[in-house]
Amino acid sequence: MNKTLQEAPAAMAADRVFKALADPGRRRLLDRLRVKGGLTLSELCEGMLMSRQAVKKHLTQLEEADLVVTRWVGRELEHFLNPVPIHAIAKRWIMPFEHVRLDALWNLKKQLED
Amino acid sequence: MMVTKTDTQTFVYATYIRTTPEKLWQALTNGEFSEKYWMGFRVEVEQRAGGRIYFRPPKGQDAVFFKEEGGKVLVCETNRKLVYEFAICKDTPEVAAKREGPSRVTYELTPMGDMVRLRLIHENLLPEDTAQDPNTMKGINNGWPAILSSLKSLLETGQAIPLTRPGKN
Repeated sequence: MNKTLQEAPAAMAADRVFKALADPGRRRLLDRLRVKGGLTLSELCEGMLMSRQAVKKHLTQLEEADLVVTRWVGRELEHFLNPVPIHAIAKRWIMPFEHVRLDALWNLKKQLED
Repeated sequence: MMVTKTDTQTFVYATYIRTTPEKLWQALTNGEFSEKYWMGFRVEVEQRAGGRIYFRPPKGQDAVFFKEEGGKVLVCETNRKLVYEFAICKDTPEVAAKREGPSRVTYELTPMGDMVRLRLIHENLLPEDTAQDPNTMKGINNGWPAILSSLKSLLETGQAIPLTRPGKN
């Protein structure tokens, strides 16, 4: 099969992820879900300086990028951070066995800056 | 000391895989396949509700960390849905005292055009389950994003992504 054709959906998926991440409000929502999964729209609106409608729109964009997945529990829609697309992007540029060195660098940076 | 209900955690992951539900089901339930993307573990499933599911650790893993009796299969709808008790690692006595039933994993397979959406829910987890201790296989469930990426790669390209085990990279 044509390699470009095969890669096209993956490239489009990556585009959606980068676009979704390119907004501080949406990153804030992801951060909130990283700390605690399963939040409802109302819970996610708390402490956000934007309208419920705006939060909802951001969540839709995050869902389209597959960075947020939802499930219904009774009448409540719970939101979860889905790190799988970010993992796939990281895997594309990080070679196997580079993790040890990258972790060491990251730990060094953290220790010096904390 | 007063005993309070433990706050459990749920994680939900999703990925689209260019394959068929039949092939994906096979990959999720077959040991030869799982060995390639599930950190070397071989899965064995009795495909019926009430059956058992085992994850056999790769050779060289210290058997002392693992449960041999496996977990119970709760729901089994071939090519669509599998729910099972996640019982791979042994708990320390302190963690065992806190646990209210084993954690539960759900795979949902939904065909979407020429792709299949795999949704994975891991619920009833204790905070201890997601803490990584490099000396044990604790936090094994932290590996789901890596496992799912590797599974996707294996099904779409025939090549698994080489995985490093938690704490052993």
